[in-house]
This record gives sequence, C-alpha cells and structure tokens, in this order.
Amino acid sequence: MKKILSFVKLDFMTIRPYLTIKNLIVILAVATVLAVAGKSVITPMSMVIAFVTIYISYPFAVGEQNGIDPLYITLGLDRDTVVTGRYLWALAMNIAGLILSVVISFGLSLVLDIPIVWSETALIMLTIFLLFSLIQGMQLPIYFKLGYTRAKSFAYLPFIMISIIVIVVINLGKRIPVDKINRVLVNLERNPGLTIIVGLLIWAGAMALSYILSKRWYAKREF
Amino acid sequence: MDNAVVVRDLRKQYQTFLLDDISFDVPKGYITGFIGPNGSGKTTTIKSILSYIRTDKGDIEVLSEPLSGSNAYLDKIGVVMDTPFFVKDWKVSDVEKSVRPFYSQWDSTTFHDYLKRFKIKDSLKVKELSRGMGIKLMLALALSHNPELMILDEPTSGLDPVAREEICEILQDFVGDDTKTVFFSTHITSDLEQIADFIVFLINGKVVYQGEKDDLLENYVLIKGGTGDLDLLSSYHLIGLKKHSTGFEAVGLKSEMTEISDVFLIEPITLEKLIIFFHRGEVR
Repeated sequence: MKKILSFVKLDFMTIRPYLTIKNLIVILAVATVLAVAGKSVITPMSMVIAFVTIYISYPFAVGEQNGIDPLYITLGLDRDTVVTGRYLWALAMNIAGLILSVVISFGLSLVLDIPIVWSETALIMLTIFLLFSLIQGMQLPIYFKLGYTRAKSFAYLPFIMISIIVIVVINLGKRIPVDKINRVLVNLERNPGLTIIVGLLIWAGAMALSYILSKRWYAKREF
Repeated sequence: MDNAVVVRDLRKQYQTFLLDDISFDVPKGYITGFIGPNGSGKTTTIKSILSYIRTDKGDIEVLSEPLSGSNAYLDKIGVVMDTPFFVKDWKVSDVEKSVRPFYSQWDSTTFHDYLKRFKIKDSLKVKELSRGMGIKLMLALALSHNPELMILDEPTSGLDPVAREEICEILQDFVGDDTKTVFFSTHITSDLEQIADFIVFLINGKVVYQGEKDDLLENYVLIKGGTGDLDLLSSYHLIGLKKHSTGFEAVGLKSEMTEISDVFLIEPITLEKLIIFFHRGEVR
C-alpha cells in the first residue's frame, strides 16, 4: 500500500509542472463565461471535471515523452502497482476536481447572484462524477495498452460515442418510446435509493472491468 | 565464484533480430564489461535482466533471486541507461523527491555529495542538463540507495574523455567493496580495457566469449601479412579476415600463431579490434 501511495505522489509530481496558474485562470474564465451565459453554476461544474479528464491523460503523455515507464520498473514497482496507483490518482484528481468545482460554483453564485440548491447540486455532482469517471474508465485501458501517442485518437472514442448516441436519439424523434422511458424515469424518481444503488453498481462493474483490462494490457507492454 | 547475475538460455525474438538462447554469468565483486557492436543484443539482454521486456524463454537470476514477476529485486540495483528517464520539466530536487520514497536505503547525503562532485545544481531542470550531466544525475541517483549491483547500458556514449574517466573511476571505487558488482555495456571499449575484470562478448545475438578480460586479450592476436602469404594460413583458424591492396589482416588464436610469428606481423589485440573482427565473422 505504501508503494501505491508513493506512486500516486509520483503521478502528482509528474504533472505538477503543468498545473500552472495560467491553466487555473483559463478554467476560471471559461467557468465564468458558462455561468453567465447559462445563468447556472451547474455547467461550470461539469467543465471542471472535463478539465480533470484531460489532466488524467497527462501522466501518460508526459511519461511517454520522457520515457518514464522504465523508471517505474527501475524503482522496483510492479506493473499492477502502477495500474492501481494510476486509478487511485485518477480518483484523487476527480475528488479534487469536484471540490474545486464546488468552490468555483459557490464563488460564482455569490458574485453573479445565482442561487444554488445544495441537494440538487449534490445529485448533479454525483452524476457528473459517475459519467466522467466512466469516460476515464474507458480511456485508461487504452492508454495502458497503446501508450499516449498511439492511444490519443482512440481515447476520444467515449466522447464520440456519447455524441453519436445524442445524434441518434435526436434523429430517431418520434420513434423513441418516450412513454416507456418516462415510466422508467418516473420509477427511478420514486425510488432514488434504488436508482443510486443501481447506478453505483453499473459504475463499479464498468470500473472493475476497466481496471482488469488495464492490468492485463499493461502487463504485456515492453519498454 | 558467486555470481550477481546468472542468465541461462535467454531467448527474445523480434521481427528482425533474435537473442539466441544466450547464457552467461556476472561474477560478484567485479566489473564485467558487456561488449558487442550495435544491434548485437546488449540492450535487449539488459532490458530482460531489468524486466523492462518479457523474454520468450530462459531463466535469469539476479543477486541469487530468480526473476519471478515481482520487481522488488530492483531495490538493490542501481541503473544507468543511455538516456535519463526523468520528466524534463522536473528540477534536480524534484528528481530526488520523486524517487526517494521507493528506495528502502535512500541516502540523501550521498546523493547531494555526488551532485556537488558533478557540479549539478539542485535548482536546474532536467532539460537544462547536458547529456553528460544527465548521465551523471542518473549515476548519482543509482549510487545513492546503497545498491549491490550497478547495471549500466552505454552510459559513456557521447561523453567527453574527462567525463568517461570520471565515471570509470566511480565504478572502480564502487567495486572496492567486494560485495558490489558492476555490469557495464558499452561499445567504447577503451573504458573497459581500463576497468573491466570480466567480459561478456555478444555478436548477432550470441555469446562468443565470456571470461576474464585478460584471457581474452591474451588468447587472440592481430595477424598482418602480404597477400601472397595468405595461403600459408589455410589450415589456421582466422577471424574477420580483411584483404586490402597490399596485404591482409585478421585475428587468430595466439596459441596457433606462435609457430608462424617469423613470417607474419603478430600484434597484441585490443577489445575494439576484437569486436570489429568478430563482427566480420569467422573465415574458417
């Protein structure tokens, strides 16, 4: 466990030179524009987590550019430790991102006088976290398998898939069984506990699969 | 004799290269030079020993432990590769902060002593270091966690003679303690002629010699002669025969050549010449 935590710190050290004030200003500026345009602080929240998703690829990008994978082995780290550490680091980044998004949103709500409903915000934060971590869960095994340069085109597939789903849904129009979907949504609304449990189970299953694939594929990489 | 590294029947197949069931030992307490021309398989072998790559076949034992999937054995090994593998935007102080938690016997004083000796400032970024400085940083790091074995892959390539001399001196000091071992790959053989005790010689993915350096240099000689005299050598074992307009040169076994030393010019051989002639291949 000590080695895993040290690896999380090493990942942080790897991206630290790129966690700049300039990037923070860009995040704040975009968040402000989105909040003003949408008169809501919800969109800035998802934007911060989208930035986190980009940052999660940095250890792969920086690592590949600097040939850092052999360093992990030289330091006596097993490949499983690297994968576990990277997932833990991604989780830590998401949590940090969520905290930052709440701080930014709270600040914007005060400055722009936009009300925040905290119960609704918490649910939205959970949804944003689950959705983006699922996207990251799809990206991580690809990075572990192919390395950053070869994987970066594939890593956008989850975003493309979501866009395609949205386009298909829009184009299907009346053919979508809206009534049935509504009934499911109503049921979900009536049973929020069950909804959260099912959502978390689906998320946990997807993340477990992602983790297993990452371990399997990274074990085969040669440096 | 105890061995720090034992390699048996190691095989690694690439599309255009085969490391062909090689076996050799690296004796504990000495400097073993790993020589061979570019593309002979030195780096592949070292990467196999360090678990950077998977082997197709064979057994490797490092410091009496067979490689079994865990990389914990690398805690006792200092590694210097031909390119530093640190984030180029890290400062030298960040390098220490990053690696220190992973070594059970990290010695910050030793690390800073080496930085001082190498004139590397803590505040410099890795990308600001010259190639020589980068290698020295790796060396400082490799020596600062009390390793039992140092593995170096072409560390002196591209370095000026002063820097090479300094690295060789440090390695000699390191094996002053007879529990410490150095395995040093290079094609700059003059470095090894100074400091190596043993040689493992690789050509085209095969070990052509392993043993004491002095034996290797004593067993072979460089033979030079006129073109017309070559027929006299038809029954001798020649390596890497090269003909030119006025004559020929080849490497031969010293034991065979003493009987014809009055006909041909027989000279002592250097490691560099041995690599060149072995690379050309045997004649008969």
